[in-house]
Amino acid sequence: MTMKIERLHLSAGLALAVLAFAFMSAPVQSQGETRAMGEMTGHSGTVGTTNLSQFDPSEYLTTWNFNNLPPNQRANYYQEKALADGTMLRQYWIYASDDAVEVAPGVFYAGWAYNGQVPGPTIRATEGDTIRIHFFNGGTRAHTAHFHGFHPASMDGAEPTQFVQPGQTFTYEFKAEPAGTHVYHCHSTPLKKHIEKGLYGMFIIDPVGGLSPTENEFVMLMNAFDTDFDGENDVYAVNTVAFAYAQNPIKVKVGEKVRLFLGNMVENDPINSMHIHGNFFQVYPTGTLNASTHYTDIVELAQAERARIEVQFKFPGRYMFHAHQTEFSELGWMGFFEVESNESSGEVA
Amino acid sequence: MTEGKGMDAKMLALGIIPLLLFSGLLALFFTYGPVGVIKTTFPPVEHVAFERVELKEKLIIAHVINDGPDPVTIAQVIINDAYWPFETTKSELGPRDQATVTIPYDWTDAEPLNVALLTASGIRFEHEIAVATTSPQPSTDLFTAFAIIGIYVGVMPVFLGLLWIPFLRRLGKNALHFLLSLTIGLLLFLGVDALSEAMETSARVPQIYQGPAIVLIGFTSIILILLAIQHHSRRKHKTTEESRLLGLAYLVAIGIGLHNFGEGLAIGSAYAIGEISLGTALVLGFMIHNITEGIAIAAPISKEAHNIPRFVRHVVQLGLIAGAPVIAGTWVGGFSYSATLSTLFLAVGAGAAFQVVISIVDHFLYQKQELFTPTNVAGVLVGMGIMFATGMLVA
Repeated sequence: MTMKIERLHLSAGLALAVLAFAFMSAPVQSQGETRAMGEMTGHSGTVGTTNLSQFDPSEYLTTWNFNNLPPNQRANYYQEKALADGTMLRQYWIYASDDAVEVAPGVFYAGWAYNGQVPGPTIRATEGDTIRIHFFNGGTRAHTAHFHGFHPASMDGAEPTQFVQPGQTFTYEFKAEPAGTHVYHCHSTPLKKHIEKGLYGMFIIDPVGGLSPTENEFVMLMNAFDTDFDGENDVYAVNTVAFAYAQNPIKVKVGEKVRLFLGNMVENDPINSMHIHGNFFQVYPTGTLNASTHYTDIVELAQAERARIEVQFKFPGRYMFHAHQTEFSELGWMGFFEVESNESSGEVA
Repeated sequence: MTEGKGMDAKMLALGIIPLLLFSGLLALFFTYGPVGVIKTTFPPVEHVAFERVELKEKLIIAHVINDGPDPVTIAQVIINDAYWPFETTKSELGPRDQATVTIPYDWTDAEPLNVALLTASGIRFEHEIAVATTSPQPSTDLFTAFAIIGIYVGVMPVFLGLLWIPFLRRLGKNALHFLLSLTIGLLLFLGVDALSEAMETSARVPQIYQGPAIVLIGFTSIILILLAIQHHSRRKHKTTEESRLLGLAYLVAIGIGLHNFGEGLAIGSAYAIGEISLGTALVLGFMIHNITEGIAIAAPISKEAHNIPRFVRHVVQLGLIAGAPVIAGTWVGGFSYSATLSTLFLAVGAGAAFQVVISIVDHFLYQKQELFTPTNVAGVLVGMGIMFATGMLVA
């Protein structure tokens, strides 16, 4: 407790030190005894489970254009219509609101969300389609929906004149281009606040004719939450919930093509990454060109950067994936692929 | 009071009416007052304090208390920036509720350790351990070891100091006054230092225990209680010069005993938080210092000893009162260190030191001695000077 007092006492009688030493002859017994609990010290991780009926990270992976909803409900948020030129008109009903987001079991972040979820609903179209977003601001502050991709300046949602006030609506309309893996987010000010609060989502544009076919397409948006608002993130994740895919691993099969639409919307940290254990993958930066630039097991993304990733798992088993900023990883950005053997692929290990 | 029973009933009414009105006022305030409006403007105030964190092999045990006005839910635990599985005796804590959080964690010896709780609303409460090491667990061996340290540090040096009594007996009156003044200087120094330490430690006291209030109460109450005891015993017994001096010696012993309890706390907690070398340095330092305390106790009674067996009995009692609390202090400090207790004992120790100063001054005045003689002033200054100079030597 008290360095000063100790020093003082030490000093108090230096003149009598010799006398005191006479008393030091008997050794002081060690107090090193410990009680081992026999308890295994295991992985980092959270305790408990989040409310999946509110937001299910596993469902989010494969949800775009509200395809998780039954048709009658889906029509409230998404409608599509084939146009004469062969493209589609895709209409979305998106609203912003103030929401408590469960970012780790039992930990609720006072966030702002699109359609009550963070990340917001994934929007997926084919290049050339018409995107029409009916945006309603049900929150308490001015918000927008600013899409990455080509669009006229009037649809940018970044100028103060374009801020949608609480209770107001605005309709964004533009052609989906270029093909790639994009994001959308609120561009109200202060910008950092509006993004870190949770107003972002994935915007995927497929090339005409589509990407190479696979059943295994997953949307992964890396994000983080500064739950105590001190400028440092307390929870890191892919798709909001800390350790979600460690608790419920993503199931894939040996040899099958697994495509990840990966984006990074982390605030407060300039860079993020994804590393997959025991395998290597192709990286298509921003997903715009159909050419891989890296064959690697780790990809780094700056803020709002994204990439399409394609991987084929070589062996069955559990393969961890996580940010290789290990702090992020142990604060929640870690999960597993559960790779099952695949008879038809002939690559049973 | 002098006017009979009717008046008593009236007095009762006069006493009760303002109370009734006050409860009415309270009811009015909570029903119609602006509290509700104000409360909804602010989010709930969460505050969790760590009372104590124990480290065992691959295990962290945190004793925490909700010391804020609103309920708090412990949702997750973060150790050195990593979420970690844990168990808690209670996760929803009302105000003043305590919980023990157990975390299996393979902490690294001799490195800092940051233990944090994340509440349901995402607020992080942290406790930093400067040097991680296994906490001492109560065991007969350790209990005995601490007791032996206590005897070395407290009891024996004080007795050694008391051995100077025959020497002091042969000194003149001036020399005695010089020694008493020296004691004043020494205790003033210790008192101020202990008080500043108490203020420092009070910052780590859980809010509901009000650290600064503990300092105030501990400091003033020990002074007042000791003065009242002195006053009482002086009125009760016919005071002779001899008994007065003996009384003063007991006061010095009590004051030093309380102060030494604080020393024990320092030693015990230094071992408890793993600063073994510091603990050992403290043992040596306190040991040396406590010999001077023996002299302080001896000074008032150096002219005693008309009745040798009775005198020896007094000396033994004085030595035990002054020295034995170190033993208790090492136990408390070693096995259940808490900022709250430390603050209290440091404040009490500071108050006791000042009270002894008051008593010595009082003794001078009672004897109609001049206070500010060159001898006395020199004694005080030399006392403080010794503490200051030797303090610099080991800084």
